[in-house]
Amino acid sequence: MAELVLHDLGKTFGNVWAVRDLSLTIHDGEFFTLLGPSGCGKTTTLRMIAGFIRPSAGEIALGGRVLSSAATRSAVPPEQRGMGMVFQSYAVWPHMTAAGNVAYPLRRARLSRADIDARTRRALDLVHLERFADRYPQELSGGQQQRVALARAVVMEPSVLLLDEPLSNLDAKLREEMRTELRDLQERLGITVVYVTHDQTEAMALSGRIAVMQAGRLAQAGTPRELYERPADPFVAAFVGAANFLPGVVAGREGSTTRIRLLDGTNNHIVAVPDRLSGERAVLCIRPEDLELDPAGSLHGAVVRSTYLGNRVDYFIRVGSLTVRVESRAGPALAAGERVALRVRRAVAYADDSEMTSDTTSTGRAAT
Amino acid sequence: MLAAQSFSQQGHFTLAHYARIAADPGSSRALVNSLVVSSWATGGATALGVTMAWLIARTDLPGRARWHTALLIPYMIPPFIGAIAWVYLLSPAGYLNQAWMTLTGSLDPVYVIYGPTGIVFVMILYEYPIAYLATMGVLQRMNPALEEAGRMARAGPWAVLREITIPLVLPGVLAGALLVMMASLGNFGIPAIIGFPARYIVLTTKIYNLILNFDEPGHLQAAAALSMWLVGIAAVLLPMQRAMLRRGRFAVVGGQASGASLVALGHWHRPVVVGLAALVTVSVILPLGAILLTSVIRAYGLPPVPGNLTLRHYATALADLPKARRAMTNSLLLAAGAATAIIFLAAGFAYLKERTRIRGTDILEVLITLPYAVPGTVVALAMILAWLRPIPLIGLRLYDTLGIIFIAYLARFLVFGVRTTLAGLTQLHGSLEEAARISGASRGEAFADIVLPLIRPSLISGWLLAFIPAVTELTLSILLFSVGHETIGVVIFGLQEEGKIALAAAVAFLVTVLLIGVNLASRGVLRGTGA
Repeated sequence: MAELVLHDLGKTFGNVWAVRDLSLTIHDGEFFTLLGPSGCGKTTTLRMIAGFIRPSAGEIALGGRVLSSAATRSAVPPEQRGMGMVFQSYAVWPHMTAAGNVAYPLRRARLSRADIDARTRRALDLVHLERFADRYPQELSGGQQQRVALARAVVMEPSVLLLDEPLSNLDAKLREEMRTELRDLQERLGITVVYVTHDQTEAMALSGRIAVMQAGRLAQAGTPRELYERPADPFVAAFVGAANFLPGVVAGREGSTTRIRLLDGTNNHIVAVPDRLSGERAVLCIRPEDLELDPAGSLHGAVVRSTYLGNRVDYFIRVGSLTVRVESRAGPALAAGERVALRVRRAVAYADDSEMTSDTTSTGRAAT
Repeated sequence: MLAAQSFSQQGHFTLAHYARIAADPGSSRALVNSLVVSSWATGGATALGVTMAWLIARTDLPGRARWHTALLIPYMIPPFIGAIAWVYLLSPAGYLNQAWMTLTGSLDPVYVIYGPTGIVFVMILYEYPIAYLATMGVLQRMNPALEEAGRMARAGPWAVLREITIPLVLPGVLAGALLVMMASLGNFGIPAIIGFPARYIVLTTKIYNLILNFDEPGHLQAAAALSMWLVGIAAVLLPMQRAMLRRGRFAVVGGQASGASLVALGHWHRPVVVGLAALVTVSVILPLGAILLTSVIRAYGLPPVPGNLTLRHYATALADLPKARRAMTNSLLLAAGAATAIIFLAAGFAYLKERTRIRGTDILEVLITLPYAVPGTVVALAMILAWLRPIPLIGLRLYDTLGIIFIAYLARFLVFGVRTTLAGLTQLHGSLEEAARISGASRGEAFADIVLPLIRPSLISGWLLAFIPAVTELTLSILLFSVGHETIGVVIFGLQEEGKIALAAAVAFLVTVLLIGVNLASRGVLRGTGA
């Protein structure tokens, strides 16, 4: 069983905690993603798992075997962890052919000549590079180098495969192609994958579960659906998809539902959220597609700007003193200034103990 | 060690040596001479180097790659051999003066090289490649978009040159000029060969005289005190040069092989070619021709007519002169040995600095730079002072052996190995090694399988960079050699001083041709391996 357990993991560089109090259990055969903006500690975490960085606190164990422990200052060196890794820069060795690169781990393991040849060929087949075995990296495209790196990482049939932003250097079309292939490969080999990325679309498309990290700490771990529909805090809501953040005050509580009055200047709108919130002030978080253009809607506003995107239209709509972003199926065009009504299909809210300064929309990136 | 000796007298602290050199008008004159000669040489070499770099990098001159190689050949000729060649050409009885007197019937030579102008002239000829290479580097790395953006902002070509190109290139050029300045100040061979006959003494030759003046008590300490002048100047110039390099680095970020638009030479084409040809003639063809001619004439001074030609000197130098043969063996062994040791040390050091977090590598790097930044005369003196007495405990005495020369070469040229290896290793992304680790290789195996093969071109070029100057090294060797332990530089210098001019020329010609050959061949080899 290759269950990978991170327990209270931490790493300091100088006085700065790059990773702090990180506890995660990654199940055998799971596609697990560490997601977050640059500098959130995701790559540091991955490199601690690989054994390139020693943790300053906590412990890493694989299938019950302790790999790194800050307490006993012990660490299994990377070459003895039985893992495979694909680097962001691919790190394909320029002085070896594609086959030479893939065969290297086998050679280090001192397998027989015949074994090495057979397994190298099988790994190259797996990534569709059989015809390029004798090419040098300089003679391969970026996508092909990427496949060489992938074949090299899986040729030893590792129990854990580590992927450090492997798709970030590819163009959009190739990225999508490789995404599908990665997923296929993982399902076929049934190995545990730990994947690092800052791209939420990629994370959602690939992962069984995702851990969102912020400033060295775990913000939330869960399935893509959980993260998108029930983000634990505004940061996760903004990072995974786009969101409108709107100020409100608690108007009443019924069971596990809280009713929140929207502070849009008119104070006429109440939105119910399926949470029991403490405190008086709240931040409402509404996904752009959860605001529906509906003549019977209770939220009235005027179109500020609309952007036609083919399968949908993005609107900015002024509601009282607020501007919200609305995503709707492409319908008849609405001109700027036109009056519309909106219905809130779904919302979540967070208790707001700070002073909310922004009265406008999403601080996150657009979901595609 | 050097600093300590300069203050000591039989173990007591004293400023007497400083007082003595301060009181000696010869010392202060040497300092002034050094500064005057170096300043003129720096100005001239920089102006020449920058002009050449601009012509090759930024104009439509045909055959620029060939001119580039031709312009670098002076760099491959040891400066003291260049100086000897110019003595053959422009001593009172030199070939050019003879030709002048024959053609015009004049009884006076047109120009005698001995003295400060001669020193400056020869220094410019053999040091301009330093400025040329520095400028070339900046011009080639500069992102052409920076200049194109200037054109798009409605600036004409001259405005772009004045307001964008020159300010961006200036730090790099100044860094190159400071390197020329340090090379001029530290040069021993040129002022020794061209200055001594005119009794024109600079710091390096003054220190040389002091060291060899065995009759005077405390002569080494006085030399040490005088050396501190040179160390002091280097201590000012080196940080300035580094600061310039740092400033220049911002200017050229993101530049690749530049596709800068080239200036059309138009009707300037012919004068430029004539000028370049003249420069190559003066710096390469004439001197090498003079050495060759001298080496095949029965006796220096005879007219170069077929009846006077002979290969006898080569036979003598190669077969009958044990000193010369010994020197060649010594020099090749020392140079190869030092270069090999340097590459091992450099690879180890570079790995420690780039791939581990061991402290103190920065300080170590400065220490490695010092023996090259400080004039060779000073390094030699420091070696004498350090190794004069037997090493305690093991009782081994390095002074008067090849060992002291070996250590001196090692210290002096280590920086070349370290720089090239560091450059090679820095370009090597750390993940290449990590990929080997995760593939099951230990630290050592990853180094052997991945790092070594990938930095091999850097190692080879570092080896050559140390080997080539070491073969004809003069400045250190002349102060450290002993009978039986001569080097090529020492023998050529000695033969020349003893008046065995034809023999000196024969050895010099062989060595120079060998060096230029090795140099050009190694360029081809390194280009082949992608370095």
